[in-house]
Amino acid sequence: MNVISIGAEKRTKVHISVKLGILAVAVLIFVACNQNPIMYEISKETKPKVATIAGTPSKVVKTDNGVLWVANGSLKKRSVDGTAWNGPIAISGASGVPRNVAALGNSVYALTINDSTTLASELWTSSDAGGTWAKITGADGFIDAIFAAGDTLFVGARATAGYAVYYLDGNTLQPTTFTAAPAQSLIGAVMNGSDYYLAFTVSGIFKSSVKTTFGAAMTASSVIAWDKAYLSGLILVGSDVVAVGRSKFMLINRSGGDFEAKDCSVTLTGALDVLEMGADDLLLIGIDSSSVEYGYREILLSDGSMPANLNIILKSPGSKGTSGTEATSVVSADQYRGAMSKIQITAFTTYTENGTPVILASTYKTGLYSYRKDEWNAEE
Amino acid sequence: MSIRVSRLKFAAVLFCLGAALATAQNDAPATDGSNDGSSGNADGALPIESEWTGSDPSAYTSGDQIFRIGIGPIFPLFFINSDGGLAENKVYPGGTGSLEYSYFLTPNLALGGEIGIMFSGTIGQNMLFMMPFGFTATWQLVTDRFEFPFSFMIGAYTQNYTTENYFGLFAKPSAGVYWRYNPDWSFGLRASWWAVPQWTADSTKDMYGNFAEVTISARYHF
Repeated sequence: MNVISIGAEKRTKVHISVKLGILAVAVLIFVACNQNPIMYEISKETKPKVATIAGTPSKVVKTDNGVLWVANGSLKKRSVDGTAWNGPIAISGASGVPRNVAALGNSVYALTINDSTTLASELWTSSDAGGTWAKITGADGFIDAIFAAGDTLFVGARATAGYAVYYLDGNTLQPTTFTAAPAQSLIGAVMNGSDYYLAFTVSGIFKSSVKTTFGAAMTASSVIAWDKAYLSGLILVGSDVVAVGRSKFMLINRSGGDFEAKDCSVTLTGALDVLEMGADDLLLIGIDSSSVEYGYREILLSDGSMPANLNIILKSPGSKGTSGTEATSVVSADQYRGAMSKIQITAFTTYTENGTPVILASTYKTGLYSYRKDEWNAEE
Repeated sequence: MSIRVSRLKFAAVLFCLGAALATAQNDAPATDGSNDGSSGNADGALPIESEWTGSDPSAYTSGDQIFRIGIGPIFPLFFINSDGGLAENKVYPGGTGSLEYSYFLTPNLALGGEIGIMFSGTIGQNMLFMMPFGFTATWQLVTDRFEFPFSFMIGAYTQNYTTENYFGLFAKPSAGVYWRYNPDWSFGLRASWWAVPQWTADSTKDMYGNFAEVTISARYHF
């Protein structure tokens, strides 16, 4: 046997093995180059703060005199230029705990729920920033929704006879009549020009120029019927009425005609608000992506209204679009992803604090979050 | 030098280290067959004294196999970012486990494979998961009933964080000490250093993660 040839054969095999190994390494590098920079994103994480307003807070509302209000079993307030939340604010005479709020002018409205023995609800109002409270009567049944729309307050209540809607008339609630009474629940109310729009979970959207009487539901989109849309939120964007639902569709009404439907591919939680950023406003939309990813998406508005021709793109916070220059709500996409991708957002409220836009996000069971100083975190 | 070329060189260095260890050969214990001169009794009976001198018989021979299972904590050491600086460590210590198979080519050299898993929490209250797998080359020294394997693993890993994933190159040198309990089992400790490079389309987000694991292990010999 030729020892020299055996050694040469072994060296050849080693060289081939090394070359194959280097090739495998090169393939791994090539494949890796198109993936998520996970360790980089972790390096951008911020330590969660302890939420001052814990649990599942209501939507934050703002009175015209610059006071923010939120309820989560207790009532708290904060000046728009303040540095901290104050409370709990007591509602003298209330038998339950505050669970929801609405604002109209300089007045705040608080819905209190007494769930200790029987489920009972009361509606209270204060026009002196919580100093004194007056009870608003007139609703029959259990109040489960309060929304301010333009110049009035709409209230939804579950009564024995069915679901009822009331409007505020002075300091009492008067029943709103419908051609065909909607089923529960009232999920939003807006005023567009001189018209009121009321949205219900499965009954659709109703429109009227008077708050006392509504006809039948507006015509739904040809793509999806009202009882399949499962509406969760309603908002006025410029002159467009926009509704979102858990059916993964967004419905847009321009000039009072039929609703156009836009497939969004993710469940929309109903959290909606417009973030004003000067030249480019953004519509913020809470999402639920198969319970794997939560958080929100952005839509770049066109002159304050929805983009024309359904040219709507739900982009991730931090994304600057294909041009690389589009407005976005956050400075760091990585910080947003680490902080908010597991957070279920139920409501948005945006406002300006000392000239800087602030985003407040009411969440499911994780308290009130905020975007301040270029960072998403629990509101302290 | 382009970034891609420098990455290739880095990875090539890692692989060549492993290849070099895999091609190292150990000489078999010399058996010169020398004896003390006895060649048997005059009547042809076997000599009383052993004809073998020199080294003791090896604990391992070619064809021996080991199956190892290990579990223990893992510690994030440091993360180097794309400009060579240290990124803030935002990963907490976690846990890791692994399974390994080795086949001895010589009494000291074994080749095989390993698969593992790790989990760690992050400062943002998220979870980081990694699953490395690859080929291993082991050089083992034996003294009495203590065994000291030195291994090098090269392969790949998958990583999961929130809804994101990564797949890339992985390398892990290890050193261990085991006590041979009986012919079938040995128990001991192993320390390893995880080299976890992460290269993406945006080179400014490249990171080089470094972790240390200390595991208690049980090895089955067969």
